[in-house]
Order: sequence, then structure tokens, then C-alpha cells
Amino acid sequence: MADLSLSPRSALAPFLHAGHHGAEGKTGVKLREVTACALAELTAFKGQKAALIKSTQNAFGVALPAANKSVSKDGVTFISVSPGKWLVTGEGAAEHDLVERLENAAGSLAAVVNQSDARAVVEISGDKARSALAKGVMIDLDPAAFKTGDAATSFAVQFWITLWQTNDAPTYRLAIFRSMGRDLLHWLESSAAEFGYDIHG
Amino acid sequence: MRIPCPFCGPRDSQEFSFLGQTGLKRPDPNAPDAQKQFHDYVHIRDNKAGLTKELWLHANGCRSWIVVERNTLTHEITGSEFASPLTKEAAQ
Ligand SMILES: [Zn+2]
Repeated sequence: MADLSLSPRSALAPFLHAGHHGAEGKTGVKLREVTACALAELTAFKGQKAALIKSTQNAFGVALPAANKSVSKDGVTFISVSPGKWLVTGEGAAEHDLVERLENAAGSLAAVVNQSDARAVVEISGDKARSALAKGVMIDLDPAAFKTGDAATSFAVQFWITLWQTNDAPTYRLAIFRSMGRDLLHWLESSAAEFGYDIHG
Repeated sequence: MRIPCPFCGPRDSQEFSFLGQTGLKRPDPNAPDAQKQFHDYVHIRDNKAGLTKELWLHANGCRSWIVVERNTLTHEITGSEFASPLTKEAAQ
């Protein structure tokens, strides 16, 4: 029988040119697409949020984060995006069974929608990552206002984005509709050019 | 102008889209003067000078409908809340 298993296709690979770009002799920013990453949206049904929090706590060992926050454990990240709604990413061992685990935890408490083929995730890090992002992101990224673990759904240039900070390097991740990935990269590369940037394929 | 979203906190007004005044009630299509009532429902607004309550959608954010209390004379925004009690419950 033919092998019918499908392998994910990168949203951005055709547009990512690995190597150094922009200003020479310095690397203020590093860019890469987060591949091998499953994505899903989890939406609590009416009146079921408290029960869902308990159920996901049991299944994943973390509490669903409050507004403007994200939380990670064992390759799974929950990002608050709307009242009663979270974007969930799964990497490493968590990539292949993320949706199944979420569906089991959600039961009749929440809807789980696979977003793996709908969104692209870009990671931007380095000591100038904040300055490069600030040219288009409308929220305040100063560490006093936005720290590791903080998240936002907001607007950047002409994109609806989900943004979260994963460490103090700082490193940020941006999730967008994957058809907008090329335009997002174009903007990020223009913003990062003055600082010098590396693309990791 | 910044609008305080009850879920996201203060955000630039460009993240929101504006619907208009709150409290409009869809007329009965079977009423004898339905045509006039629908004309008013669609086109006629109070255009108040002073404190107003308006519907805004946090379209490029958490996508919640919110009611914003705004003074049209000063542009001061004095409060906001979720338009739907269901959204409010889900945000807690
Ligand atoms: Zn909001």
C-alpha cells in the first residue's frame, strides 16, 4: 500500500535566504521560521472555562494563562489570545500528538481547531530584536511593559499578529496567517537591516 | 487615541473598528410603519454632544465587542466593558 502520511510544508522556506544580511560586521537580530511546530486553537464553551482550566492542568501540568500571558511546559505553549481562547503550540515530542492531547483534555468543554497549516511562526531574537520589532508593532515592548511570558494579539504594519516573548535575550515569536508570511518577512528584514541580521534556515 | 480594552488593556485606536451608538433596537418588520422605522434604524443617529456609549470591535486584537464610554466634546474615554455578558464570563 502506498505511504499516505503527509509531511508539513514550510510556509516560509522559499523566502528565507540563510546567511548574513543588512549592515556588515554586526548581528543585532537573528531570524528563523519555527518549523516542526504544531498549532491549535482552544476555545472554551459557554460556562466551561473553569472546568477546562482544571482539565488542561491535569493533562499538561500547567494552568491556562490569563489575558496577555503565555505559559510553556515540555514543548507545549499556551498563549492567551481572546476571552476563553488560547493559541497552543507543540514542538519536539509534543508536535505529533498535540491536537489529540488537546481534544482528549477538552472533551465536551472546549473546541479544538488544528491551525498547523493555517499559521506560520517566526522567531526573532538578539539585542536589537526589540528595536526592529518596535518599528511596526503597536504595543510597548519596553521590558517595563512587556517581559518574558507576556503575550499580545495586536497589529503590526498590516498584519494581525499573535506575539509572545520566550526569553530575556530577548526572543520573540510571532504567529500570523501563513499566506502573509512573505510580507511579514519582508517587513522584518527591512526593519532589521540597519542592525545586521542572520537568517537561520 | 487609546482605547482601554477590558481584556487586552489600553491599545491604539487603529486596532479597533467602530460600529456606532449602542441601544439600537431592530424594528418589527411586520409593523404598519416598518419602512419608516427601518429608515430611522439604519440612518438616524443622536449625534450627541457629550457623554456617549459606543460599540467598538477590537478587530486587530482579542476580537471582542466592547462598549466604550466617550465624551464627544473632549474625546475623553471614561470607561469600557464587554458588550456581551458571555465574553465577560469567558474573560474572568
Ligand atoms: Zn482586546
